[in-house]
Amino acid sequence: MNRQTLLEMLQQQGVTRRGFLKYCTALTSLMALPPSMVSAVAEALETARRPSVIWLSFQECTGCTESLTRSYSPTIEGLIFDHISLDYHHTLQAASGTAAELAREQAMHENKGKYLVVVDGSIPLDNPGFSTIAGISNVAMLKETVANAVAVIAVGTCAAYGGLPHAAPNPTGAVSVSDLVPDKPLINVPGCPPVPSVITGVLAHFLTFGAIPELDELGRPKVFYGQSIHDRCYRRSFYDKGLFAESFDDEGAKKGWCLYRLGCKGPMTYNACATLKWNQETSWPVESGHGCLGCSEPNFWDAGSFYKALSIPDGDYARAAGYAVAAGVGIGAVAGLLNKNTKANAVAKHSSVSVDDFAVNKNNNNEGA
Amino acid sequence: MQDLSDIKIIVDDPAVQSGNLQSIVTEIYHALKKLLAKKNIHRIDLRAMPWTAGEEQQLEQILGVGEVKIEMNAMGKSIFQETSYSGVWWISHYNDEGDVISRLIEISYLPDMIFAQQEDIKSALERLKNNL
Amino acid sequence: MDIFNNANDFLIWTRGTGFNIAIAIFIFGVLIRVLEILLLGRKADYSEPRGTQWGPGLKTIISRSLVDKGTLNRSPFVVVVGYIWHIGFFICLLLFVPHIELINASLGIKWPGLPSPVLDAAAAVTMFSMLAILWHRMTHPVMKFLSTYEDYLVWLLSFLPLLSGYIAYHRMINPYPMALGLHLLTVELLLVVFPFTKLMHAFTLFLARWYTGAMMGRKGVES
Repeated sequence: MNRQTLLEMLQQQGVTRRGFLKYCTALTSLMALPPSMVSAVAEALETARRPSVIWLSFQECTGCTESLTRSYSPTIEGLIFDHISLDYHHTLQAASGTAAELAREQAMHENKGKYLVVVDGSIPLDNPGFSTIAGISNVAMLKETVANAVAVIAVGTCAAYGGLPHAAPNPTGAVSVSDLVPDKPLINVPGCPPVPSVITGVLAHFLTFGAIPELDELGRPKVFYGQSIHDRCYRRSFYDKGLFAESFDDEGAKKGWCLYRLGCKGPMTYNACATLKWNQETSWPVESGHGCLGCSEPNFWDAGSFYKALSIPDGDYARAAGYAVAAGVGIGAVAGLLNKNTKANAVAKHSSVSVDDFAVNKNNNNEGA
Repeated sequence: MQDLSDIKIIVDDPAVQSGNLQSIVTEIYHALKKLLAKKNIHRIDLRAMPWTAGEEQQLEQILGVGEVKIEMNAMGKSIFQETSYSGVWWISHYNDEGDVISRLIEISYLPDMIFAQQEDIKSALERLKNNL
Repeated sequence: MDIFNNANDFLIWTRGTGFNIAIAIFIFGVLIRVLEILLLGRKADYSEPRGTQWGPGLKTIISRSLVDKGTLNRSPFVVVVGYIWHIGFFICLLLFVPHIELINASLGIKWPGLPSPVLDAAAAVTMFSMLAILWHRMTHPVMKFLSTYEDYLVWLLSFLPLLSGYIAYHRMINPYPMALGLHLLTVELLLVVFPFTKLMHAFTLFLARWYTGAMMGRKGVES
C-alpha cells in the first residue's frame, strides 16, 4: 500500500486537478520554495511515492514530537495518511512492546534501502544502559535501523548536535546522529524544538523530490536555515538605528525595539522562526518580546547566559583579570625594584671625571705611542 | 473562540514596521508592469514574509477590494479576491478544517487555477458519457 | 579548523577561554610596564618649587595632544591622517552599541552609542586612512628606513580588528559565529601583544606628558 503514488491516492479520494494544484501550492510554500516552483512540485508529486518512515526517539524530551503534532498544514494526520507511511514511532503508534518492535523490523525488511529514518534525541555512549528501548540500547538500535535506510533526518538539536544531554558536563557521554552515522545522507533539522512546519517541510521535500535538499555546513537545509534570525527579524531596523530595549519592561521594550542588549542571539542563529513563526503563524519569541536563545545552533546550552549580549565575553574574565592584577602588581613591583637597583649600581659605578683626567689620559696615550 | 485567527490583532504602534510592506508594494508594481507588457504572471508567497503583527492586514487594506471574488471548493475552500488594483489577486487557500494553508498574491489576468483543467475535463467527459 | 568542531565552538572559545587569556596577559603586561616605570622614581628635588605640578601636568596632557603647527607644516599628511585614524578607531571602539555593552558589563559604565550606518562609515574611513599610513611608511624613504618589523606587526594587529569587525558587521563571512569569532580573536591578539610593543604609548603618553608638564610647572616654566 506504500507503493501508490501520491497523485493516485488523491485521485482515489476524488480530488480534482484544481485540488491537487492547490495542494501543491501549499506544499511549495511549506517547503519554503518560491511560488514559481508549483508546477515543478506538481510534476514531481505525480510520480512520488509515500516513503516508509521509521521514527526513533532516544535521549529526548518529546518536545520535537510535540512540535510535530502542532503542524497544521499539513496536519499530523494529513502527514501520516498522505505524505508518509509512519511505520514506527513509539510515542504516536498504537502498538507497544513486541508488536511495536515487530512493526519496525517489518518496515525495515519490506522497504530495504528505501525507508527514511527520523531520529530525535541524542545517543549516550558512556553506558549503553542509560537509554534503551525494548532492551535495545540507543546506539545499537540506531546502527541497525540506519544500515539499510535511504537517508536519515536528525530532528531537534539533541539529534543534530547532542543538545541538552551533550551540554557540559555531558554525564551520559551523549553524541549526535552525525557522530555515529557518517556514511548516510543526513539532514539536520535542529531547534529546541524545530518549527513544526520545518519538520514537515523537510519531510515533504524528501517525499516530493526523493532527494535531500541543499544543506549548509552544519547539515541544515538552506531553505529554512539559510538566513539568520537577525537578517529576517522585523526588529532589525531598530538595531541599525541604535534603538535598544534595556530591560524587559522599559519604554524601548514596549515600543518593540531591538533585544540585542537583553541577550538576543539572533545574529548568530540560523532558523526560520522570523518568517514561519509558531502556533499557526501567530507569533515567535522576538515578537513576544524575548530574545532568541540560539536553539538551532550547536552547543547553544554551553554558549553562555541567554540574557548576556552576544558581544560580552562569557568566561569568568573578572577572575582572570583579578589574577592578572595581582600577578602584574607583584612582578611589576619586583621589576621596579630590580630596575632601581640597576640604576643605583650604575650610579655607584660612575667615577667622577675631571678635565685633569682627560689631560692625564692624553699624556699617557702619547707616552704609549 | 474557535481559532487563534479569531483573536483580533490591534496594532497600537504603527511605528513598529519591518519595512516589508513598502517592498511588497514595489514588487507588485513591477510585476503589474510586466503583466501589461509581456503577460508575465507573478506570484508572491505571503507566508515567507517576516511580518510584524498586523502588517499583513495593513497590506490587505492598502490593496483594497476589487470587483471580482471567486470561491472555489477543492480540498477545502479557496477565495480568489481581486484587489482594487485590477490584475492583482489576493488568494487564500483553506483546508477542510478551515485553517488557512496558503496565502498568495497573484498578478495575472485571471488566476490559473480558476480555468477548467485538462485532466478534470477528461474525467468530466467520461462521466457525461455514462449519462448519455 | 580541527580543534573546533564547528564555528560555534570557535565562538564559544573566543568568547570564553580566549578572552580570559588575552585580558589576563593584557592587564598583567600593562601593570608590569607601568609599575617598572613608576617605581623607578626620581631623586628628591630640594629646590624651592616656583609653581604647582598637577595643573600644568594635566594641561600638558591636553596641549601636547593638540595639533602642533610646526609639525603640521612639515608633514601634514602624517598629522592629518594620524588624527583621522586615531579618532575613527576610538569612535568604532567606544560608540558601537555591542562594544558599549561589553564595557558596561565589565566596568559598569555606559553611554549612548551611534547608529550603525555612522559607525560603518567611521570604520571604512579609519581602515582607508590606516592603509594610507601604511603606504606612506612603505614608500617614504626615511620612514621606510626607520621602520622595524614591530612597526608593521603593530599596524597589522591594529588593522585586523577593524577589518574583522567590518566583515562581521556586514556578515561577509558565513556562518556569523565564524565572523564574530574571528573578530574576537583579532582583538585578543591585539590585547596580547599590546603591553610588549609600542602600543604601550596609549598608557605611557599620559605619564610622559604629565611629567613634562609637572616638571616645567614646578620650575614655573610654560611647557
